[in-house]
Order: sequence, then C-alpha cells, then structure tokens
Amino acid sequence: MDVKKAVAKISGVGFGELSRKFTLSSKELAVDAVIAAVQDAGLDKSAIDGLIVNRSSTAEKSILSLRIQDDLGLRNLKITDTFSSEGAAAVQMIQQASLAIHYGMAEHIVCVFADTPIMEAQSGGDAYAITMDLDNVIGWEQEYGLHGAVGAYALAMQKYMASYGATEEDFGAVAIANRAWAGKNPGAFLRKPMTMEDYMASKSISAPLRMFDCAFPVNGGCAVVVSAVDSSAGGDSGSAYVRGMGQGHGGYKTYGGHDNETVTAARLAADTAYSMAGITPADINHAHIYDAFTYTGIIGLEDYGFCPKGKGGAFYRDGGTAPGGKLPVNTGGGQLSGYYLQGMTQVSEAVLQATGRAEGRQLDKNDWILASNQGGRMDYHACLVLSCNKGN
Amino acid sequence: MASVPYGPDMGHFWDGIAEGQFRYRKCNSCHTALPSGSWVCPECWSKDLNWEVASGSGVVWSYVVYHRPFSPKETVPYNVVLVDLDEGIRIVATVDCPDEDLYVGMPVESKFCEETSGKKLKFYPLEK
Ligand SMILES: [Zn+2]
Repeated sequence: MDVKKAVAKISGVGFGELSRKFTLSSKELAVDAVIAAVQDAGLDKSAIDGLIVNRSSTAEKSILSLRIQDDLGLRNLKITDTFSSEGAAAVQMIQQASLAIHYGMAEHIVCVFADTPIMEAQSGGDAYAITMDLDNVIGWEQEYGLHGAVGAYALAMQKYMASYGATEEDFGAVAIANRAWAGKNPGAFLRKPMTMEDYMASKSISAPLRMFDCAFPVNGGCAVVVSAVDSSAGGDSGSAYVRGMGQGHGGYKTYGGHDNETVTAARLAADTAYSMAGITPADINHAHIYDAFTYTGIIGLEDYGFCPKGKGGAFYRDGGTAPGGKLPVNTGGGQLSGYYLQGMTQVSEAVLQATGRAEGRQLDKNDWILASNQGGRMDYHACLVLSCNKGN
Repeated sequence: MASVPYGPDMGHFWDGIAEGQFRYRKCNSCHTALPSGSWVCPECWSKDLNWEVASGSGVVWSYVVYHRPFSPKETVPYNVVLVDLDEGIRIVATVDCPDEDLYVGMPVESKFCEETSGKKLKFYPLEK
C-alpha cells in the first residue's frame, strides 16, 4: 500500500480540571481547556482561526455553545461548528478540523469538549440513564423500564455471550487490563489494582453488566489544537500527525433478524482510515479503543481488525492489551479506569503517547496509533490514525 | 398506558394495545414487515404501509435483568427482553418467568395483562 502524508496535526492538548464534584460549569471547563491547549501548541490566541465545540448529547444546549468564542475573545474565525452527536463526536470534530485545514480554510482550529455529568442533584450514573430508543414507539421502552445505556449495552453483552460463548471473565479481563494501565497514570482516577474476584464482586447494575463494566464519569474538559502540517505550532511539545480518518454508521435495524449487537460499522471506519494511512491493523503499535463499557473494548478490538470475531475476550484474557502485551490498549486506563470524557479520553491519551509525554507509561513505538470513538447504541463510529511522523 | 404520549399516527397502535392486539406495519410495495412506528419503508422507500396484527409468538433475541432501579416505577430485579416476533420484527418487552430461566433463543408467546395503567403486553415461555 501507498503510505501517504499527514492531513493535519494535533499541535496542542489541554484540560479543564477533571474532578468528581461539581465546581466548574461546562463553559468554564471548556475555556480552561482551550487556554491550556493553545498554550501547549505554543500559539498566541490571535493565531486561532477556527473553533469547534462538542457538547455532550445529554447536556442542555445553553450549557456549552459556540458563544465561548466571545469569552475567549476569538475575533477572526474562518470556521466554526458544533457537534452534539453522541460518543463519536470528539473524533468527528477533529476530522472536520483536519479536512478544513488540509484544504486551506483555516490554519489552527481549536476543538473542545466539556461535560459535567456529576451535578449537585445527580450522580454520574443517572446522567446517562436517558432512553436509547431501541424501539421506535414513543414511550414504549420506558413502560418496560429499559433505562439508558446500561440497558442497551447489557442486551448487547448478553447477545455476544450467546453468539460466541464469551464469559463474564472476558469482560472482567478488559476491566483488569485497563486498570493495570491506570496504575501507571497519575492522572487516572481508579488506580488500585483489580483482580477477577474484585470484578466479580462489583455490584450488578443490569445483568450481565456490573459497575466495573462501566466508564468512570468525571466532570472536566479537554481541547486540542489542530494545525497545518507544516506550521510551527507544537514546536516544543511535539505534534501528533493525523494520517488516517474514517467513519462508519450502520444504523439500528429492528426487523429482518438483523444483528445490531455483535457486528458494528466500526469496520467501515477502520477500512477507510487504514486505507488513507496506507497501513493494515498489523502496523498499529498501540490502540485507544472506546471503552465506555468493557464490551465496547472487546468488540472494538474485533471490528478494528486486531483479532477475529469472537476472540476479543481471549485477547484481553491473554494479556494482549495490558502493559507488556503485543498491542497495548488504552494506556491511560481508558474510560473505565482513567476518566470518562467521552471521545476525548482516547484522543488525549493517543496524543500524549505520540508526543512522548505519557511519562511512566510511555511506549517506544508511536509510528501508528489508533484512536477510536463510538456512540449511540454502537451505531456511530469514527477513528483517527495518528503518528509521531508526518510522512513523506 | 394512559400517561404515554401518542406519537404521530400512533393512535391506531395504542388502540390495538387497549384491545389486546400488537399492531405492526407491512410495506404494500415490497411486503417487508416493519416496526410499528415506521412511516416510510426503509427497504424500498414506499410510504404505502399497512397495519397488521402480530400472532404474538416469537423468540428471545437478548435480555437484561436490572438490579439497580433507575425510576420509582420499577421494583428490582426485573427483566427486559428483545423478542423477535415470528412476523420478522423485534420489540422490547418482558417475559413473565423467573429471571434465571431466561435464555437467548427461548420461544415465547405474548399475553396481555391488566395493569392499573391499562393493558400491558408481556410474554411467557412457550411450553415445549
Ligand atoms: Zn418496502
């Protein structure tokens, strides 16, 4: 295959305080993250000519909007956009920025996500208890008590177990591997080593789904600056070059015996991104797979081409993704043990690795890095192939 | 189900539930069985859809057993299932059986139960 030059580069990354209590609003967290990312890129605010905002699909529009342009005093923007679609939106906004930069519409676009699932009167778990619309009759799901993502993903786990003989230990292995990585990341929220006994003892929420199958919600913000490949941005701290991008959206079909639960359109996203980069899954040095649930860690590994269908659990159980494994996955602890900032969790860790700033967990090879996002009922997928090299 | 808001054109569906019938759509053009809330055929884009009545038998496609309550309405544990009806559409419902008896592929048959809010569709295990 033909290895191609980078489309754009991520020249800076920054955070708004990550915490487990409600102290700052989404807007404040977003502004803090933008300031930190622009500083990290080594840019003056006058250089920023694009702003893209990703608000959580569960948050009110007024909580975080493009109006932060005025808070930040950004006066000469050549492009703006708002993404409020589901978990794939972080990667989608970086793709949008990369395309705009590649075609010269702008030179430095800041992309920001912020969310506060933990409010004074609401736990993180309740924030995501919205209806998933698996049926298409208004009010039908609520009548049966099918609440939130934990219901939809438990249904998917159960189907996967029945179809491929997967076990609870397979899901446990994902939680344990990501926790092992979190132990190496001072920024991760859950760092105490986890055993299979710990996993099995964790509280059942919607069987087969347990507490330790779920991401760890935090309040926080994360921004990246996407810049033109040959700009001087990112000079001191380094850049992560965008070498491949793809999306896949298979829809959700509730007739004709269609399987929405064990095969996803991540395959479309993967094929497009690998082809753009001129690589195959075997070239990937490490991957950052959307792990809002342990199951998405397994099916993501399969649908992005790292193991055959039904073998994702075994890959984790054999230590393949853990520290020292053949394909390190979610080296910051992921969304399960690191922190859940929706799609920005995978993006931020991939950028820290690509720029050699992952400290005690830093990996040697950063030629090809996959960061995947997914949303909805596993029907929205987007990914980036990043590299420490800009290509020829 | 009196408190449930009616969606567009769904009156006939909810009337069916009140009468003990589960009504779904069928495309007059390509004859695909479609979910009850369909208004255009996703296969052939025809808007000429018929109402049909489901026989009520099907197979469990997947299931979940809630142990954490998310609303005061439910008492845990309770199960929610996806059932593939014989007609070819998949619906959300519950099976009236011990949760530990549930399995993917379980044959089930529908029944309508009287609840304070009106008639409610449930399934029960089909005798083998
Ligand atoms: Zn049709």
